[in-house]
Amino acid sequence: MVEITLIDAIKYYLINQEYAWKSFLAYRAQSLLWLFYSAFTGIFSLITITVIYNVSSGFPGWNYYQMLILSSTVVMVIDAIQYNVNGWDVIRSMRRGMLDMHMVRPYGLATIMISTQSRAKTLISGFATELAIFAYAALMLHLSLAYIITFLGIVAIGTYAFMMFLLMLTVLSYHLFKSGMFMNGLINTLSVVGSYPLSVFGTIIMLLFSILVPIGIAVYYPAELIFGKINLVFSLAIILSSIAVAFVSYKLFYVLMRYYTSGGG
Amino acid sequence: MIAIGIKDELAYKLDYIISLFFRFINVLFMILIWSAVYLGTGVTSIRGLSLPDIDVYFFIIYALRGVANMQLPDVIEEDIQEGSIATAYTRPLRYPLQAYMRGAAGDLMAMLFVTVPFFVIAVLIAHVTLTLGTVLLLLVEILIGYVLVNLIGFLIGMTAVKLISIQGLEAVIWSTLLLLGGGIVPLNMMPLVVQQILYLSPFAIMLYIPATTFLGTVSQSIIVTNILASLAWIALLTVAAFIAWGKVRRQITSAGG
Repeated sequence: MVEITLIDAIKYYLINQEYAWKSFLAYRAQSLLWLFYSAFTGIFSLITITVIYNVSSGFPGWNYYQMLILSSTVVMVIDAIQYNVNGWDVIRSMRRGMLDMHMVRPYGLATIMISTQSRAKTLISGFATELAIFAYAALMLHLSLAYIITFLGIVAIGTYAFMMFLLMLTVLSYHLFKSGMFMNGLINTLSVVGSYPLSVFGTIIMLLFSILVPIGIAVYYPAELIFGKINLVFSLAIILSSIAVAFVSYKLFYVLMRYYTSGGG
Repeated sequence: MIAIGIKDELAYKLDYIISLFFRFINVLFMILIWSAVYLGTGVTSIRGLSLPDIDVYFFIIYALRGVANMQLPDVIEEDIQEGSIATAYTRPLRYPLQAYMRGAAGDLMAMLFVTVPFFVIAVLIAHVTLTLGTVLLLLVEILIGYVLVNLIGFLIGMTAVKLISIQGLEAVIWSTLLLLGGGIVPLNMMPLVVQQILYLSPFAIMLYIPATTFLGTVSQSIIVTNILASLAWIALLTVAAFIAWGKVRRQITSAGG
């Protein structure tokens, strides 16, 4: 029995990333277009929010720059997750039996999936665009570095929880639909919903995207904390919720993978 | 050829239903977002559009996205990647027409399962009685938009001869179309200079102009300007398509089989 350490898992992840990047860059014109596309769509929410604040007073309780922080963080979180867990790629791999050869390796299933099953390398340019928008908004809001680090720390914990949740949901989608369409649709919807304060969608949807689909704990509540809309106790509850979501999702992921049957070979 | 294409499309019924479900959900979220803006600002109208207008606008936009979808470049790309363009050449129908026919099957399905339901919802919630003149004008605009989308799609498809994989280019063009066509925000909410430029572009007629014609919120002068500009674009793109096809058809090589 080979004992796998965290260092081994990280090395395995990095080797696979290097391979994925080389594959991606093999078609240079194509990869440049995808990188441009990802950066370009990154400014969509910036344009929408700018237009909204130009023609109206915007969303109650949220100023223009706060909205930019919220929307850019959501896209960064989703891009970072998709970079590692892309539902479409994972399900396609499961359907074609391409995951099977990776499963014989002595790493955890979650590590294998996160390391090998996403081709969405292009999202790095989208992430960079959003980071620039985030930095600009943070500068305009005069946010201190301590505030930003606290915010990003809580977002990082929430992002991990959200990633584990999406990994579990991807396997569930495979069982239910055998297609990546549901995950694609969900990610697109989450990019829209998450870019705006959850409160604008009403209590039921707010609860839905806080508890059932935890994008709220990854971005919205940390943003509310940094802008002083919620207190410290509530923010601790968010961190605990993130840990709980990550734990439950991880366990469920392994339960669902027990029933995995390859779609081909 | 269209019948075969329709059978292919129907093979993925569940995907169609899921896609339709998320489109519907996305319209509802857009409506909720704009509702918050209107209610938060405390106004009944922004740039001539009331909140009910905005609701209808997004339903119409999603209906029109079923018309303005690009199947043609996918067909050409697939033929070039799989080498089936070689067998297509042996058929007694010119390749661009064959490719269009196969893409048209997907277009028909999108119109049937996306455009029609969303348009019906828009009519129901808009409480408008469309005059014959408006319906005809709408049809003309939609037809012009459809022709433009396919001409652009054909030109993108042609690049597959050189690039082989054109999904990235397609995605860039589609996003541009959505943004500049009024699919993200109504064009009349953009700065005036930007609006004037976009009314002369080939994109406004694909989404914004038909949507606002339906609502009756766009002036006749803008409609006329945009239709004339779009016809000029059709002429220009047709010439470009002929030249492009004439140049690349001799360079096509079968990449597989």
